[in-house]
Parts: sequence; structure tokens; C-alpha cells
Amino acid sequence: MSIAERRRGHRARASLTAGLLLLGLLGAVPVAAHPVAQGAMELAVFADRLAVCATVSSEQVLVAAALGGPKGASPLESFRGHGEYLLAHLRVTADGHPLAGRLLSVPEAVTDKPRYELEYRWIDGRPARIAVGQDVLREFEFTPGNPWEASYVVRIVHDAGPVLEGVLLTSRAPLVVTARGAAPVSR
Amino acid sequence: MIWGTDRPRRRRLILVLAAAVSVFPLAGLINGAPPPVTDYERELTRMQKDLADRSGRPSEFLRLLYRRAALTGSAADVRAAEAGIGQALQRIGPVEDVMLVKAALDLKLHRLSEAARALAALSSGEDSVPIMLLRGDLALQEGRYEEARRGYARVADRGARWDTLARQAYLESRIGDLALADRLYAEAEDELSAKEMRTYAWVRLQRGLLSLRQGRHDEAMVHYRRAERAYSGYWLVDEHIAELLGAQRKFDEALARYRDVIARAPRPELHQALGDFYVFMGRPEQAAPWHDQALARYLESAERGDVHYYHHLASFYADVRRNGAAAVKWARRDAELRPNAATRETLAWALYRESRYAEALAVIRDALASGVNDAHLFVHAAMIHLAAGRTDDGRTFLARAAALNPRYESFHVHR
Repeated sequence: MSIAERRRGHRARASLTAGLLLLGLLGAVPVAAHPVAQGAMELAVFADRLAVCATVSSEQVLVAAALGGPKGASPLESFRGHGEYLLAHLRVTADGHPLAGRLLSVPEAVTDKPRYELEYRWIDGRPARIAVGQDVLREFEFTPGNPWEASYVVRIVHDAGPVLEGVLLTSRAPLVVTARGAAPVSR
Repeated sequence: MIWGTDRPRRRRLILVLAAAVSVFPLAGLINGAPPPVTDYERELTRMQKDLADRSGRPSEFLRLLYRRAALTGSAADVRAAEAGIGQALQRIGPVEDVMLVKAALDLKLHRLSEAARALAALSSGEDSVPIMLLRGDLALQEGRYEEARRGYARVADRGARWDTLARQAYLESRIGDLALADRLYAEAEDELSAKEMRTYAWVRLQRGLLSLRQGRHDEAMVHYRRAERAYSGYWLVDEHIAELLGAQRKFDEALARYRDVIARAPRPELHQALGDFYVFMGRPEQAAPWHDQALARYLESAERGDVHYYHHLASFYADVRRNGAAAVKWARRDAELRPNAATRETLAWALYRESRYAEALAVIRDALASGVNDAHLFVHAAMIHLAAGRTDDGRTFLARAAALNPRYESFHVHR
């Protein structure tokens, strides 16, 4: 093989190898993307109360327990104890008046989809305007000045209005439910 | 001294000038002129023409098929390259050029044992740079990171090449020092000529990814924009920009970019990325059709006997469907084929999703033992340790994730 041929061969292989790198070495295409702690929540508006069923991410429970839970708690204690945490961080108002909630059920086991049921009873009859806000995990910082955040995809069952699905509840804005529907309120 | 001995600076200047020249056609947009043909379209058209010509040697034709598949990433083009390999093997036998393409494609498609066989069939392996590099790639995919490092270093000892430097940078970015990885990518850039604008764009993309993994969004965008200017119309660049716009909560821009990329490169992983983005925005109904399409295509691929979407299937079931059992099934298959840190981490996360915390803990420890330096791994490790009752360790991994990427919580794609 002449030197010129060898050079041509080297060049061809070099350019081939460049292609190999682009296709072969680095899988630069996406595999998955997801927020760290997004859960689901169903709000059912009844004549006498608001029923909340929250299926939160296990990550939410684990972060809250690790950064703020009692020391030495077992994972099951953390999952059960998260019900009280949730109750403390969900804020419900009826026509502007804060309501006290009640925890009805917590998970029986450590699970990937822990579910909590809460209720808020009306004080003066059914309100015209219900606001649901939350500041779950906001007291814990991932890095200084950058707190954790949990969000919920909400389904609202409203006997005086349409069923609404896919509304996002974040700590940034409360969700306001009226007879006409529901929407996050911008601040 | 720009034109004297300062070669890297001179090359950088040429690249910058070439990038600047490449944006001049934008002037054509003024007065309603049609949009210019992009660099990507131009290159693809040239490749299609050369392929239609079929005048070259079989190995050259095969190389073209391979390059087109690398450029478009399309399943049809990958299948054409596979068919080309089969035909070339019949016509000219297992000569080095054919076996190199075969090994590279096998690696890309996660068929590691076939790639190993193809490489073993090449007798001159000890001296040939492409073979040494591919052996390094194989070691990397099999989780033999030190062996990959040594292999790349042996090639680097023979002289600077952009593709060796980029491999070293990638390896460093996974299991070493991110700052060193960036320097190696920068050195790779310096080895490029002004004719290699797509490669320049690709290297810039990797530097942007490195910045993104550390939560430096603005810096990442600078790299991505340079990549975009250097080589226009490349779906891979656009897809990365879409992700970054999402991380910056520029939702409308990100959505428009994702939709545009999918129209040009309808890959299932991009369908999933758009679905994931809708979920991130809290719009699950709009996510559902994209997720359904992605899953259908992943499963079709697996039913055909292909294995390269096993990793996607595992992640999809773990994080989109939250179906631990299905996630474990695919993650296990993937980890058996490619026993590396990424597949172990995915298996551990799948086990976590199935609430099998003790097993998840054992597997994530294996993944961590590889020395991988990645916020995604650390967050998963944190959750698994916390779920297994190892609270102190869990806190430590959360802190390590935060130190590496303070913006981990913003939208990001796991690659």
C-alpha cells in the first residue's frame, strides 16, 4: 500500500470514527424527564364539606421526613405521620374564612403512592368561593434560597358545576373554586 | 500570535468566522424571502444524492448509509444501514471497514455482545485507532470505566484527535471531574477544522449539557446558541434548546420548539419528552397522547426484537406510568445486556417504584460504586436510602445532588 493510499485510508477511517462518536458513544437523546415531587389531588365539593384525597409522591414524604420529621422515625411512621404534615400545609378558605381540616385516613404501609384523605366542613353553609392553597416542602431548602416544591394535578368534582381535570396546584397560587369553575389565582 | 504557533486560537477564530458567515443567509428573511436552506438540510441532500449515485466502493456506500443514520437518527435510516451491512458482508465479506460500521451500529443499538464479536473479528485491533476507540466505547457501555479510560488514553498518546478528546471528556463528565470534562471538550473543539461545523455544534452541545447538569442555565444557552449558529437546522440542537427553555419556564417557546423538532424528527423519545413537559406544566391530558405514542413505539421496537429502547421502557414505566413491576422487567433486561452504572441506577429506581427498598438499596450501591458523578443518580440514591430507613445517608445524597446541580428541580431530561 502506497503512502498516499495509506493516508487516504487513515482519512477515511478518521471521518468514519467521527461519525461513530456521534452515533455510537453518547446517547444524547432523552430517556425521561419528570418533576421531583408531583402528586395528584381530588377535591370533591359537597353541600356540607370539601373532601380532599391526595395521592402524593413518595419522594415528597421522604424529603419532608428527612428534613423535618422526628429523628429515628421508621419509614412507616414517616408515611403515616405525613398526613398531619399535609394537613398543616394545605390551606382552605371558604368565602375568605380559613377552615380547620381533619385527617381521615393515612397509608397502612410504605408505598410508592401514599394516599391521604382530609375534609374541611363548612361553618356557615356552602360557600360561593373556595380557595385551596399549599406550601408543601417550601420550608426546606434544596440549596440556599432554592426551596423544594411540590405540585399537584387536581381534579375537582363539583356538584354545582362541571368536573374539572388537570388543574395544577402549586405553592405559587391558590386554586379558587366557584360554581362556575376553578382556576389558579395569579398573585 | 494568531497566525503563528497559536494553533488552537487560530482554529477557534476560523470557527467563529465560519459560524458568523453561516448566519448571513438570515438576511434573506428580510422582505419576505423564503427561509434559507439549513446546514442540516444541505448536508442531508448531499448525502441522499451521493447514496443515489452509488458510484463508490461498497464500504464507502455503507459508510454513507451509516453517516445518514447518525445525522437523522431515524429508524428507517438505521434499518437501511443495517441492511447495507448485510449486503456488504455478502458482497465483500467481513473486511475491516464493514466490521467497524457493524460494531459501531451494534453499540448504538445496545447489542454489546454482537459489537464485541465484530471487534474480535478484526485482527489488527491492537494498532488501529478506530478499533481501539470502539473497544473503549464497548468497555464504557459495559461499565468497565477504568478500562475505557486506559484505552482512550492509549489513543490520545498517539496524538490529539477531537474524537478521542470528546470521548475522554464524556467519560470524565460521568465519573470524574466536570471542569476537566469541559476543558477536554474545549480541546476537542480546537482540533476541528472550519469544515467540521456539525461536529463543532455537537461538541458545543455537550458543553452546554455539562453546564445544564450543573444548573448553569445561561451558560448552557450560550453553548447551545453557538451550536445553532454553527450548524443550522439540526434537530438534536433544537431538542436540547427546547429542554433548556422548559427549565427556564419559558413554556410557550419550549412547546413550540418541541413541536417543531418532533415534526422534523419524529422519534419516540422526543414524544415522551414533550409528554413529560406537559406533565411538568400540570397538563396531563395534553401529555397523554404523546406518552401513548412513545410507549407504543418503544413496545413495537421491543416486539421486533430490538433492545435499544429497554432503557426508555424502564424509565417510562417507572416515572410516567409509575408501574414498578413493568419498570423492573425492562430495567432488568437492560442491565443484563449492559451492566453499567446507568442501567443499575434505572433498575434500582424501578425496584424503588415497586416498593422493594432493600433490593433497590443493594443495586443503587453498585451504581454508586462506579464513581458516577451525577445529580440524577444522587437524588435517586437519596430517595432509596430514605425509603430504606437510612435517613442520614439519604440526607447526604440530597446534599451531594444539590452541590452538583442547585437547579435539579427545574425541568430536565434524563439522558
